[in-house]
Amino acid sequence: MRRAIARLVRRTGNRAGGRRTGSFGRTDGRRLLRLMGRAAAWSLPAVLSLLLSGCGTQADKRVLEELGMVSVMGFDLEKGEASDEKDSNRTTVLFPVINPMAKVEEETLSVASNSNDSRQRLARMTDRKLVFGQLRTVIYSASIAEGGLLDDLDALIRDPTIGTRVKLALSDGNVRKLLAFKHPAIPRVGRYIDLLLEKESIHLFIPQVNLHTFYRDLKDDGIDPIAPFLNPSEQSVRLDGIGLFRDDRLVGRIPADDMPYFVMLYSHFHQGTLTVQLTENEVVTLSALRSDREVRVRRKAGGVPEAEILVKLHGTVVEHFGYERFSTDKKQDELKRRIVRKVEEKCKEQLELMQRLRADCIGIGQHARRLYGYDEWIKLDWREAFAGMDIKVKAELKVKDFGIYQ
Amino acid sequence: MNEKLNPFHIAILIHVVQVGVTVFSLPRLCAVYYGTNGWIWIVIIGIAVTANIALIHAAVKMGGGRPLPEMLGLFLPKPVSGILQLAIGCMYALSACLTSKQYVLMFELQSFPATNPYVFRAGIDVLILCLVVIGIYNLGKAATIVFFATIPFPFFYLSLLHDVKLVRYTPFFLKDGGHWVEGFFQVFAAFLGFELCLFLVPYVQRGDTRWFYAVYAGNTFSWFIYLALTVLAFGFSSFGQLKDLLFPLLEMAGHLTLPVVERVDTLMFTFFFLMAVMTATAYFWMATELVTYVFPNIRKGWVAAFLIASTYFVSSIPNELSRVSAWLQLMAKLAIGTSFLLPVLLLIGMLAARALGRVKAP
Repeated sequence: MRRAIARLVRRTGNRAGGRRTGSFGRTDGRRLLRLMGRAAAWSLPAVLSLLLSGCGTQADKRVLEELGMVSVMGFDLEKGEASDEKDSNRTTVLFPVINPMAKVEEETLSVASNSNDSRQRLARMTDRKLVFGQLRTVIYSASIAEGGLLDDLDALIRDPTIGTRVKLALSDGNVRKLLAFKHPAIPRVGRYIDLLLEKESIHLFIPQVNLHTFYRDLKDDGIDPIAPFLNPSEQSVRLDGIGLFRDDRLVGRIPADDMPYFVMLYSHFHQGTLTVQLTENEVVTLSALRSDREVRVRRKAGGVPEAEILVKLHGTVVEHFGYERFSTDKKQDELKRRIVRKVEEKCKEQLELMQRLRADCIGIGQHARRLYGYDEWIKLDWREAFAGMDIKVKAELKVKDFGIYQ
Repeated sequence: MNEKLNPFHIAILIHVVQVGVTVFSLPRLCAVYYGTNGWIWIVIIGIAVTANIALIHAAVKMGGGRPLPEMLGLFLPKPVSGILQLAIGCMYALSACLTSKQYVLMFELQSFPATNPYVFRAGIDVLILCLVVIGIYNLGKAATIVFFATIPFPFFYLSLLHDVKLVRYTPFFLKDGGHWVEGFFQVFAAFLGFELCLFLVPYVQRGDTRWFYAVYAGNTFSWFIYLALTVLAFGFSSFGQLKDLLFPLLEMAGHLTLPVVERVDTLMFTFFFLMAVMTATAYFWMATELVTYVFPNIRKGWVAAFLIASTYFVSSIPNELSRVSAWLQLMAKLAIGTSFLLPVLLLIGMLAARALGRVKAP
């Protein structure tokens, strides 16, 4: 310890130039100045960084209470009343009100415009700064979708603040009215719609559809896009079928009751419920249902493509309307056979509809591509080939149990 | 006093410097220039990059532990080698500044769109200056921290595997693409940064070139990450969609969800700031080294400050993201040319010097 102190004293003495160590001389002053200069030089970047970090503009400031965080956007087509009047697009936005004193939980703004300046017009209608980073759902009226969605979507997918997980839906009626839906049990319709679509995509009835999946399928030459329908009813806003697109145009729809059969053809699912109307008086419900889809394609003699879709179902019978006992294997097998036959029949109906519409929304083309060389595939009119091809559906059902009553 | 760089740090440094914002557009570049299943070209270009590193390895081996300017001085007249070094230095400095500018403009696509990019860049440049001044050894340590801070992100993409469909890859190979040479330059640019190894010679154990295997290791890791992410992107998005998306991997990141974080893409891109800064810093450091060799009397700190300040103004000329990308592509082409031709020149020159008896054969 003593040695260390001695070394330190010696070093201090050396630094002082071997001069007087007791008083403050000119050399010390210079050294101090040099040290201060060096300290200033080193701290300058830090100070500069701190100062620069505060140099944001007012426009980039986000105060939560001053924001209108749009959760749903809706688009309607309004026909011009006079013959020479242009059609206009009505844009409706819905955003939650973050104010404990406010009497409503959501605010709706709507503006009609025949140019594409609706966002500016909407911004002029509120004291809040409208931001789109929390947008969850976009709803288009069927009349817009029938004319093609690509131009309208372009406005959304180009905006980097709008994520591509934003859900996409269609509505038969007026979207503005849909978003103004009021019910005591549904205080925030925007959040309700988001949760409804989320839940339904998990529980079998619709495939997950968002800006990404829609654009992905639109730009794939082996599949056409889809979008779910949302319509208001007396009690709630309900899921009302699946819209089928040919490129970006809405050409048809799968009715709400047939949606599970479409999903079986479209993809696989892990949990769902399926109610099958076997006869007029007999209904059976399968729960905890899992499904796998397998597409087999080949070319027949003459080069014509044909396909077989194998739907493998696995579930539990929880409801059977129309009293029957399933105590024997024979009876159980008979019921399974009847369910399978019905599933195949319903799936075939959906397929025939898509073939009639020339809309390959289940992506048979994605599988059929491998039957062709690149040049042959490019020259092929896939829609026509799809419309004319023979597609078989084969279903398999495994039932874990038939409920707690025999 | 001069601590030597550890091979582990070298591998990480090379990887961190290589990975820049170009990685986000790699799937698009492969789709646009090479067509269906264009990801295959990542394999081919990776081989070309490894060959390029092998070329540098051979040149360094032949130099026998001499730094780059000393090697150039053996067979080139001093003014010529000086001009060559200054030219390469200026190119690296401009590339560095454009890299940081590209990052800032991309960052402003997502956050703070109304803030003046010059303010951001000034802040970043101050940080870069601090990093350049601390020297390559400390830079290696900083790179290690950056590496461990960012390495989880590529693995987050694995959670998107359930959305990957084999049929989206299509059975067609390299159809509907563009010009493959242009694509080669653009994809190769994503691997740039490995030329840093040419400048590490004075900072490693003299006479031992085994450290070079760390360069191969760092490059192979970047190669693997690029390939994995691009293959994933081709199965996640459709081919037509990939061609339209400016930054497909950033769009994919938008689909990542963590239990507590909703928009992982924004978080990821903010973290990527560290990668962009490291890339820019390494290039500025190389430029500083080259200029200091020519003017040995000027302190490195001042050289770095001068280079950063001057390129700040030069790179302010292109204002739009597309213009900055175009400038960067030009710089990348020059850098690729340099990375191939400089070791070739060194090899030929050293062979000539050996033939003339200026250098002893090993």
